This record gives sequence, C-alpha cells and structure tokens, in this order.
Amino acid sequence: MGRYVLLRTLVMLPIALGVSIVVYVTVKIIPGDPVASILGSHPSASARAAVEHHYGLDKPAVVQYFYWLGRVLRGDLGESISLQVPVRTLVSAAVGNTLVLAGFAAVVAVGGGVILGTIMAFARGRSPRVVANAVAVTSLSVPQYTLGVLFIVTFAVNLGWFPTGGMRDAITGGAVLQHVVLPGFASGLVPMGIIARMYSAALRETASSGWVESLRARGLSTPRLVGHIVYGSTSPLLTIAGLQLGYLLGGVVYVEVIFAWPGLGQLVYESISKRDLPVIQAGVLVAALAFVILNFGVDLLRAVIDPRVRKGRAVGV
Amino acid sequence: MTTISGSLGTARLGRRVSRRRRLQPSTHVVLGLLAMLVLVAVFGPLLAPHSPIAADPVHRLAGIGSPGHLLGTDGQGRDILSRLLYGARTSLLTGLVPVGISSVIGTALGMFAGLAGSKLNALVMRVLDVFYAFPTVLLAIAVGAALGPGIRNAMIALTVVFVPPVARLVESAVAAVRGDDFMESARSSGASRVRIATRQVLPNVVAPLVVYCTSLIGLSIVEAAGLSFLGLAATPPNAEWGLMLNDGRNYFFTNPGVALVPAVAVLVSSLIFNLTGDRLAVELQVDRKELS
Repeated sequence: MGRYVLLRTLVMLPIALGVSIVVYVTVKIIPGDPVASILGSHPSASARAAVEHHYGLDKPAVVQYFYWLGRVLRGDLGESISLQVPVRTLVSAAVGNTLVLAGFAAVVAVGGGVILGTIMAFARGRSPRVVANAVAVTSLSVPQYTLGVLFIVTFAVNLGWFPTGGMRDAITGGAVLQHVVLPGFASGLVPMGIIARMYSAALRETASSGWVESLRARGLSTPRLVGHIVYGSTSPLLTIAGLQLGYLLGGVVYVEVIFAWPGLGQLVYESISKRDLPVIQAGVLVAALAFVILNFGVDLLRAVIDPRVRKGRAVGV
Repeated sequence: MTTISGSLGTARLGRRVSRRRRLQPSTHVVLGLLAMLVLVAVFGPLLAPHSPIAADPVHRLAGIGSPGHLLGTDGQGRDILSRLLYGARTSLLTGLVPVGISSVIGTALGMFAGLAGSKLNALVMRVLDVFYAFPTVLLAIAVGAALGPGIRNAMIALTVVFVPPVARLVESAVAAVRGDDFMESARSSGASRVRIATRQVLPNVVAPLVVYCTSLIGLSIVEAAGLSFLGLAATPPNAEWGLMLNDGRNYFFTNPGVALVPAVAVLVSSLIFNLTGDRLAVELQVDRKELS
C-alpha cells in the first residue's frame, strides 16, 4: 500500500506542476495591458515602471512563473487588479459557495447514477430498463445551461416553487437549501446520465466475469451474488465518478452564471470581462488542482477497497 | 480495446458483410434529421423572414406565436426565428471545424505515440495527461480567455481541448493492433514506417475515430455556445445561440422564449450528432464503452 501511495504521488506531482504551467502560460498571453487597466490608457513612464515593478511584470517570464509558483505554494494568490484586494479573499469566499453547489450536484450525480445504473443492469423485465436508460440518455444529452434555463422557466417563473437565482434570501440570509436545488440538478444531471451508463456497463461486465460465474456455479443465492457483483464494480464506479465530478466542476461555471450563484465560476466570468488576470488564473488553477487531487483521492480509495488496484493489475473501466 | 475484430482476416470479412447489409431503419431516421440540420445551416439565411439584427423596439419581447414573429422577439425587438436560423450556421461551423482540425492533429499525435518507442510514447502521453487533468470547460475558458473573444479564437480553444482525447483514443487503438500478426508480416516484408502507419494501422483506427468524433461535434456545439454565453466567442450583435441565451437571462419573467429557444436549439443539434454517433457505432460495429 505504501508503495502504491508513493507511486501515485509521483504520478500526480508532475501533473499538478504541468497544470500550473498551463494555467500560467495561458493567462500570461491574454491580450490587453494590465498596467493600463490600473492607471488608465496613457500612464507616465515612471508610473508604469512603478506598477510593473510592484506586480513583478518587469521580470522575465520564467522568473515570473517561479515567483508566482512560490507565492501560490505559500497561499498567496496575488492581488486582484480590478478590485485591489487579495485574490485569496475573493477565491476562498467563492470556493466555499461552489463547494455547496458542487456537493449537492455530486449527490444528485452519483446517487442518481448508481440507482439508474443498477436498474439498467439488473431490473427484471424490459420496461424499467428502458425507462432508466431513457432517463440516463436524456439527462446526459442536455447541456447544463439548457437545463438551467428550462428549470428557471418551469420551476421558478411558472410554478414559483424555487427562487430564480442567488444563494441566500436577501433579507433573512438563509434558505440555502431552497436556492441550491435548481442549480444543483442543472449541473448534476449530465454527469448522472454518464455515471448511470458506465456503471451499468461495469456491473454487466463484472456479472459476466469468471469469478462471478464460479460463485454462481457454487449455488450462491441471487441477492448474495448481486452483493458480490456490486462490490466488484465499486472500483470502476469510483473512477467514473471521479472523472465526472471534475466535469461537474467545469460545467458549474455556466450554471453559476445563469443562477447568479456567487461561486468560482461567477467570479471567473466577471473577471474575464474585466481582464483581471490574477483572479482568472487563481480560479482556473484552484478548480483544476481540485480535480487532480480528487482523482488522486479516488485512486487511493480504489486501492483500499480493491487489492487488484494495489497490485497494479488493470481493472475494468 | 478498440479493435474492430480480432485479426486482419475477420476484420476484412466483417467490413465486406456490413457494407452489403442495409442500414437499419433508425439509422435512416437519424441521418434524415442530420440532413435537415445541415440544410437549415446552409440555407437558413434564405429562409429567415427578417434581418437577424434589425431592432424593432415597438414589437419588443413578443411571445412565441406572435403574428409576423413565429418565435417572438427579443429585448430589442429582433426576430428570434431569424436569429435562430442565422445562428445555425455559426453553430454547425463551431461544431465541425474544431473537431475536424483536432481529429487530424490528434490522429497524427496518437499514431506517433502508438508507433514510437516506449520513451517517446510515455513523453507524449504524460504531456497529454496534463491537459487531461483540466475539466473541458475550464481548459476552454483558460485558452479562450487568453486568446480574447471571437468565434475564431473560440474554435482554436476548442481544438486545443479536443486534441488530447482524440490522441488518447487513437493511441489505444494503435496499441491494440501493435502486436498483431499482420503488423509483424508488414514489418518483415520491408514496409516503411509511414506505409505501415497509413496502410496497416490507420484502417483499424478509422471506425472508432469516426464514431467518437461524430459525438464530439455535438459536444463542440455545446461548448462553443457556452463560450459565447460567457462572452468568449461571438460578440454582439451577432446572431449566435449562446449569446442569445445570455441575453435571455434578462427576460425570464417577461419573455422566457428569448432564452428558451436558443437553449433548446443547442440541445437539439447536439442531440442529433450524439444520435448519429450512436447509430454509426452500431453500423460500424464499434464498442461504445471503450470510447467514453
């Protein structure tokens, strides 16, 4: 196990570093003059030099990268150019809100996906399978922003069951649960459909594997057999769920904008139009690193529950 | 893995049989839908009853089914149906171009990685892993934000996003046939690397690639509209579905059609490509599970 953790860490670190380089480079080549956005369009040479020095813009790109990485590792994400407050303050407030939304959506995605996938794989009779399959295929085909608009028009505007947007009541500051339902489902249904499809495939593959066949030959009762199949399919389920939750982290951007949810996506969206480099950089970096760490955690979890993973043998999906 | 059939002999046989077999009825239906979408994109501007950008403040926010405006008008009184028809062309373009370019680059990269030595293979695949570590939307936002707004830049961003998955698919398809007997016999008969790549490997890669890329077009349409929605692709007053959707956010209560119509249009066109991908998988006998 210790060897496995070390191995996975050695794989994860270069990827995390690569992610930071990609984020740094992409944001670095954003057209537009960050100095001009602070000082106006025609700053004096000395004022320009002072600002460039203050933000480290006068150093070579590679040096700037390592300065930046060092500061990031110490938790310093720089200062927002448009608001002149630490990026960390903006991001940490937004991350918490995004986690609330993503957490709710993850429950929808994984919970719904497992239920649908199980029905698709095991249900007796044709109709439940057909219905579950139809639900899965429909939900994975509808873009998250389309779902968002459909939900707002149906459940908020016409039926008035839920608020159209925001995270808390303006006056009481409560009722987060009521606000999270629509955006949660809007961002969770696509991954739910994908998880359902792939989980049912994993279940069927496990069910047709040799060791399940031998258990069946030994005369195990159907419920116990199903128990074994479900346990044997947990490892592929974790892999799928990990990848889909990453997808969810990305798709949440659209949903947050549509529902005016004050999270990371909303923050990045607003920073794009203001050309606020450090905030975009930090937002994308935090989300991408969360994805890397999430998948690292998934790999460790798989190793704990599945000895085949620990011993380096490929399993299923 | 993504082999079509085990060895060369059965692959040839299988293909000849499937060519003679007639297409299934549901494939005809899906292909008909696809043809309609393409026709709308090509001839949409001719069918449009109004200009897509002519504002008519008197008749603003007319509902769906209003006289003269079948799908109503938006906040500036522009005809939504006309904007929808004009936008179809952009949408199809932003679906086809990034997937087309990234499938060429990705195939070249994947075949190179699959046929190169293990060190080069590892190098290419690890670099791709870094891009894989980004959720699609975020990578597109990062690249799109870096390049600045515009349809062309959005298509470049999406191309960057789609190269790694295509390359990975091709690499695994190559890996599946790498040890096969026909590869060995081609090598021992003195075929050059390039010839082996194009004549022996490529035919085994094409079927899964076509299926995957067809569905990818659907995703590309969705993401391109998403980038426009975020202000990273099309710019006002252009008729583009993502832009129309963003504009519609202001009129949820007064005229929900402004947001609903383009939202559903994106769904329908991406759905058509997803269904086409599903049908192609059936017709070409590609195992979908390996592609996702």
